[in-house]
Amino acid sequence: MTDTQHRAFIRHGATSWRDYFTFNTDHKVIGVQYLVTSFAFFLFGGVLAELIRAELAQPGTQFVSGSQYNQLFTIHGTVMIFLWIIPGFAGLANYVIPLMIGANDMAFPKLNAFAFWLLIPGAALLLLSFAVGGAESGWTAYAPLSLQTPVGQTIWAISLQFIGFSTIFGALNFLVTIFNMRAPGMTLMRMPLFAWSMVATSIIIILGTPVLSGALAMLAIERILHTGFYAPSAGGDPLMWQNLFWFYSHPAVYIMILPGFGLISEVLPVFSRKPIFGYKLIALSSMAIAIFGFLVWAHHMFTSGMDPLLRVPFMITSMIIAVPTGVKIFSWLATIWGGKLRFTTSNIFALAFISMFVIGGLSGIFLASVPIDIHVQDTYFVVAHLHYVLFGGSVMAMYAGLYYWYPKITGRLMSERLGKLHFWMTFIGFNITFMPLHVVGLEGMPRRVADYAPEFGRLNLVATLGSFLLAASTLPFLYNAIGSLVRGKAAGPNPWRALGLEWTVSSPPPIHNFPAPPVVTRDPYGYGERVADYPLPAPSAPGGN
Amino acid sequence: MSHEATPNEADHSAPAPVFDATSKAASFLIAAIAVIAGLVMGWVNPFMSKSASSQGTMIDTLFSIVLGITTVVFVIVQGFLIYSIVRFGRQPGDDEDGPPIRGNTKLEIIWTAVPAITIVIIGLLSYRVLADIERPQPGERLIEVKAFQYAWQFYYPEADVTATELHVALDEPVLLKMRSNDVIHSFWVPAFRIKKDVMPDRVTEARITGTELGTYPIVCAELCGAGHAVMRSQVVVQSDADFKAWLATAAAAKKAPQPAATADPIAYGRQLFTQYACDACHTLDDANAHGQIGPNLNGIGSRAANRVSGQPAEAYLRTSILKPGEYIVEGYPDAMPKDYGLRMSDAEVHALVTYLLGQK
Amino acid sequence: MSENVTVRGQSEPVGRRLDNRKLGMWIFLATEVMLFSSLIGAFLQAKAHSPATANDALNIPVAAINTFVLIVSSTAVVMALSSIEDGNKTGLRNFLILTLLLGATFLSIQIIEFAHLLREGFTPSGSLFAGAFYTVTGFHGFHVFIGLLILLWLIPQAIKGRLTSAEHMRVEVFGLYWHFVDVVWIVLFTIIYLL
Repeated sequence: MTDTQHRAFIRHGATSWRDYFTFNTDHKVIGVQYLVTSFAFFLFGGVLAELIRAELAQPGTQFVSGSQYNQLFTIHGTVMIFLWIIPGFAGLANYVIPLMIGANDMAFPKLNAFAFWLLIPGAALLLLSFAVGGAESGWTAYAPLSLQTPVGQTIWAISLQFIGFSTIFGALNFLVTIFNMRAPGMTLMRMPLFAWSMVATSIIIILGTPVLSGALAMLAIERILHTGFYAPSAGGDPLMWQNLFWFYSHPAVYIMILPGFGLISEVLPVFSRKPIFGYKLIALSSMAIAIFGFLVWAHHMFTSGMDPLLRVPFMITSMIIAVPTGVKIFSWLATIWGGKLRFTTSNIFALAFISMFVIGGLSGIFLASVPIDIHVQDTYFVVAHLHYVLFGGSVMAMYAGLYYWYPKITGRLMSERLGKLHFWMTFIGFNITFMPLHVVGLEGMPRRVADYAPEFGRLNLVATLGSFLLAASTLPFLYNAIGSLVRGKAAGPNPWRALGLEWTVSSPPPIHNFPAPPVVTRDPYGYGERVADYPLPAPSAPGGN
Repeated sequence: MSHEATPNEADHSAPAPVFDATSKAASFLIAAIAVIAGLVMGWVNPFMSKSASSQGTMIDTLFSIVLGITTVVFVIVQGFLIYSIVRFGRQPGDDEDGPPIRGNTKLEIIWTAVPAITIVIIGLLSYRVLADIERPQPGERLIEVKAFQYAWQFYYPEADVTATELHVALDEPVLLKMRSNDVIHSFWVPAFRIKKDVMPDRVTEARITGTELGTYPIVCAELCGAGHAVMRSQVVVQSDADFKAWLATAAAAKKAPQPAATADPIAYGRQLFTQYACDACHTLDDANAHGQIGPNLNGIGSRAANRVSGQPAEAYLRTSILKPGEYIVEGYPDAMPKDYGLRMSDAEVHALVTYLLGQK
Repeated sequence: MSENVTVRGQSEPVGRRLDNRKLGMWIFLATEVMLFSSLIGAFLQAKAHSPATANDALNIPVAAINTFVLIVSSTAVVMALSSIEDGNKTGLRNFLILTLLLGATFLSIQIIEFAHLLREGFTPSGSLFAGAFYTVTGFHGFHVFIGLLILLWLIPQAIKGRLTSAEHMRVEVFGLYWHFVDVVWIVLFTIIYLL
């Protein structure tokens, strides 16, 4: 197959920058489209975060009204979840998974492109809801408040349907691709762990997202036709919204972290020159998290007036899910233990991921315990927890992955010096911003407030200053990522001397990936072992420190 | 691409640093520091001020235990991480791979089983505390809580008293039965460690027993609209005698002959002022109101005419009650309920306006 | 290193695995099961909070006829698939057209029923039960409609003889979708009209 136009508007493969604006069926183009788009929304969500932190720098309200503030955090949360992390990982996986499993593309290339382009009307509607005003009940949109808010709330609900379809079609594609299109010899137990994590993520998306879709559809229908699903005055039940919403939205957090877990399992072995420790348990723990993740949702509702007895089984399941996660963390520590660590930017982010994610995971134990949760639910303690797992976890993992695969995608190396500057600014800024929030939450500051009691002023100011550093930290990254496109040194096919099929092809890969399907006889973690599926290039300067 | 067969194999002649004496010592040291740190953190618990309720005391103890345990895990993870970074960095010029260790079944069993057992323990302790803090107490006093956008009201059924502050007697167990007028709110007393959502379609309950004299904030902890941040009140823990005195005064004021609308318009207006919970947000000395959320209304009778040019005082006050968003006083939130027009009769609005006009 | 090399097209799976398109449709149907579960759950909740007479306005015989229509249409799809497996292109065409007609009949009867109910005052905002009824049957009807659109895409291909006994996966995949839509209706008919 050559790089020709299928039809008037469908293209496959990129030969110029213009191709990235087309309906393009090449997974590598789609992956880049997802990554650039989602990163842009990361920046937008970050601006909203800065507005929030600016308002919170001092007690009292200075810049925005109560209603405007409510919109700020609503759109911030919605954008970060649905337009940054979820599609961002989908994009990275889109690029990398076919290469990692030895396939020439995803199972359904046209559906793949369609899934990406669905994000655009979804994002447009979300921004419209912000412009028009009214999406101000939090990303959690509890009824009856979300029934009272102005018209932007309905537009918000509809925008998420588009975005939800995008993720569902993406997940469908990943499952069929990974199940059916692995290279000959690549059994499930020889598959890269990133692929395992994408299977788990995709299963969650398939089973969970449609429930959110149903809940949102009913919200929109009720707002327009006054059917009464969630409105007490009509005989409806506000708790039904909460149950339907959280049935998806709890597993959604695993959608947001599992790809990061898989990615970390790819990066650490390469830069420790050791196999991943405990492959089987790591693979199985991803599946366990996917399944258990559907059994914990009501821990978001412990103070809701739900049946008091039911809180106990949900407490149990919420605690149990710490075990497979802990297994991963210990396995990663064992992976680097005794290795020969190379402190590339990618690896530093991966190591910081372990450090920060464990903090978020531990604060989650507090939240799982019902009596403790009674005090900290809906407070800044939760805000601190979620940012440690989503920023300290997911975003740091994303950066680790971006630095790792950037040379493969672009054919260029990024500057390690700028990378380290980026890392330190991020790491320090992040901790200054979010560590104090645990304390103000415990001491009595609720969530989603533009104003707070004066005794929380000092720590809030510290957090705001930290957030400015955190915001600034994206600048060296952007400068590096864009600048290296033109100035970066040529990467060659395998700058990290990594095992793994994606490193056997050129950087960037040929349009059709593999001239002939590779045959695989082992997993890609055979560092230190005497046999590999292919020889590694000689050690050279790029990629080392 | 270079196909030189540089083997990705390690030099297996030297013992891997994985198991050497330094590593073993470091592991023990990290574990020891972890345990000590856990004990210290659990004992000290520097993150919260002392609680003021019996429920809070139990929750804080549980919190301390969990804090101790999570500190141990934290130190272990960070410790091994930092040690690895310091010790296992690649030596310059060493391009060999590390030891090909893929697993260790015993270790994997340990780090699955130990966390599992630990969380079972935390779960059991949590269950105990949960049962204890929610158990019905003999002689508990029933107080009804009403939440609306954006204020709290507390009703004492035995005394038929409505208040905008929650008063409780020291060490007296209280059962709160709560309901919302509109959207979901959440009743939270941080000092008591007790929180419960307040729903519009059902009654929710919470039990509190104040164990320290003092005044503690009540905060709304569920996003309820534009005024969510300012929806506050306070709980006053008083001695039994003081509490009974407060309740008696409030009851007497309630039982005082209700002024007829015409007989004593000032008293009638004053009564409406508290009946419609204006005192939840406004300060007005004449009505014994100390609300901190909306503008101070002392002297409003003199100011009303000058607030909006062209608007006579009476029209201004009337609009401010029925359409509160029209003339927001700078620095105050747009949080006043907008449905007084539906809840008050015309006569009542008129009486209130007359009353306020008289506050010079 | 080059043993077992097989050249594969993009959509061809390896070995004895389920065809990509079939696997894809099964996964898609899993999402549909979850979607309808949330809507059916909401309907059951609404029904539980409504008086026992809430569904008196509904016409069971008409709905039963419609159920029969859909079941026959599923049979038609089975016959269509069986035809093309035997290479019978005419049979394929005829049975697909029959499916289309039956599906259109179902939708028409639904629409007429809805119009009737609305005139009787059984409106979405009139009661929670009615709102839930229209929502869940409306979603189902929409899925039938999508099925008809797919048929309008498939039938010309059948007429032109593009589908063969060797390559007719799209008919099979469509069949899976159509059977699912039928099964959902059977569930809805049971819980809305019969219970």
